[in-house]
Amino acid sequence: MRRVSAVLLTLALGSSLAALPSPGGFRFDLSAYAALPVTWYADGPALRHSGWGASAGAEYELEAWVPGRLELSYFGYAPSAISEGGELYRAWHGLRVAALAGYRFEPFEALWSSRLGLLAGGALTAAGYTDTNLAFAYPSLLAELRLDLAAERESFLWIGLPFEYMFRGAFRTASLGLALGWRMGPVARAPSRPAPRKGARR
Amino acid sequence: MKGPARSAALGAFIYLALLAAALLGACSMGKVSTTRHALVYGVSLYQSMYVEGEDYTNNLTYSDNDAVSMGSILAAAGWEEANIRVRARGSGTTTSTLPTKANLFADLDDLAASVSSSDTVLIYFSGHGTYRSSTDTTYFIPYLGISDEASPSLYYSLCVSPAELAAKLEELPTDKVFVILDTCYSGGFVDTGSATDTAPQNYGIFDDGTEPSTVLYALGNFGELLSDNADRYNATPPITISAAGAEELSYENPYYSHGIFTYLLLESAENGDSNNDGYITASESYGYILNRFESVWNSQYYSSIDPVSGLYADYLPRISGGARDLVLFED
Repeated sequence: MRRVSAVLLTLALGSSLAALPSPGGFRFDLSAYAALPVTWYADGPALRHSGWGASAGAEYELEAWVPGRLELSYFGYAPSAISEGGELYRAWHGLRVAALAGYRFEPFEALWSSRLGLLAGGALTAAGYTDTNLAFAYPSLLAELRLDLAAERESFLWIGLPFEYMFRGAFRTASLGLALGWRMGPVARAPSRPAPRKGARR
Repeated sequence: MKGPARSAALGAFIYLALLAAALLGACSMGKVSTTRHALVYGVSLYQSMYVEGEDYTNNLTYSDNDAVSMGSILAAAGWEEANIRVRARGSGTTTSTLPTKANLFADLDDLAASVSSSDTVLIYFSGHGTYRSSTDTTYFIPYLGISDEASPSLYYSLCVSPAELAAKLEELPTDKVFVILDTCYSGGFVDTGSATDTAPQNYGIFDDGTEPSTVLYALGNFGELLSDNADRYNATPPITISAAGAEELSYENPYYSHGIFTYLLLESAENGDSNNDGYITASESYGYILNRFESVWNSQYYSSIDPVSGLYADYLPRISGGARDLVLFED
């Protein structure tokens, strides 16, 4: 129940942000992702989990550049697979605040008016081991490859491949995900496709 | 970007997306193969503890039964019967076979000499526990830990402290170790590592029903938890599950013929496989116990004070921290 409440809270926050007027280059988006984390420790087995998450993001866009993006995510990861020796890694869930920056370009201008973006940054997470009363926190590094579909529209869908590298005490977790998002707000085109100047001579 | 390059870039993206989706869908499960050893101790009768004229006795009723049942359930749940050593008052008549501290440490010495680094070891104890305020130390009390005199007193040197147990466990060649304790104050044996137990060690103060969410607690104590995370605690401490917090009592009940905690632990071996993968991990077992504890015990004892100790009668099982987990039972 607590998890459901937190997800609803995250989505409500994202919706509220989206409802705000967005002067200049501020954009807002909501997304959900499925993830495949792998956890290990020194001399320990590397074992796969599965997971999911929902995010609300706000970013400032300066032409092709994204100098600042803030993202709030709620996520849950299942217990890992079990090693032959009977070891595994626990399930956990939490709330992540991320700060990212990046660049977007348009390799597919004739195809769906799409564009690619690369974002990187860091995050701090407040978490709990699922079905316990144990709370913990950890930092992580983030990178994301994002494909904006129909990016010339005011609102559009995007798909992304988020990667996260987590520093969880003596443990490390690397996670690759597949995200689907909905971006709201005015469009900002990248400089690789400049608007034609009025009155320009041939 | 022109045609072929554009197609290649799009193709690469789609390939990566499909690869991620395929990896997400794949979740195979191999057969667990580890040799398991268990030391299962229970002490109901601490010699002649009944004191004439007193309205209670320091003897317990069901700890022997806890140990015997735990031994049986382990044998039925993937632990080799030949490697399960049960010591309870009813299982022997001489000191050499009884659940004393000396025998526990001798058994651990035997294991240290015989197990390999890939083996799994479990230590279970059901009986009394105590807290010594002068040294701020918790103990569990094996047989002989309480005197046989008319005026009962503790012999701490015959009890087991967390530091003593940790030192003995360090001698084992394996780091796949369970410690499961059904005693009062047993939370003193639980190492939460870089995590923090959000429930106080005296759970009774939650009687107003304001148990915090772990994530909200983590948000409220973020700096401290982040600092603990940076300390990179030992990745492989024993997986410890205790019946109670460090300041809580643990109870037994004739309705269940067991300690409440042990009754639910045994039940979790049957019903605790929450993801139906055929394995019940320590976390699954603990989660099952925690979910059932409310209805089986705590809901009846909100705001109740134990007349002898003056402590709250509601309590909460605990589990150690760290990301690692181990298979406890096979379904």
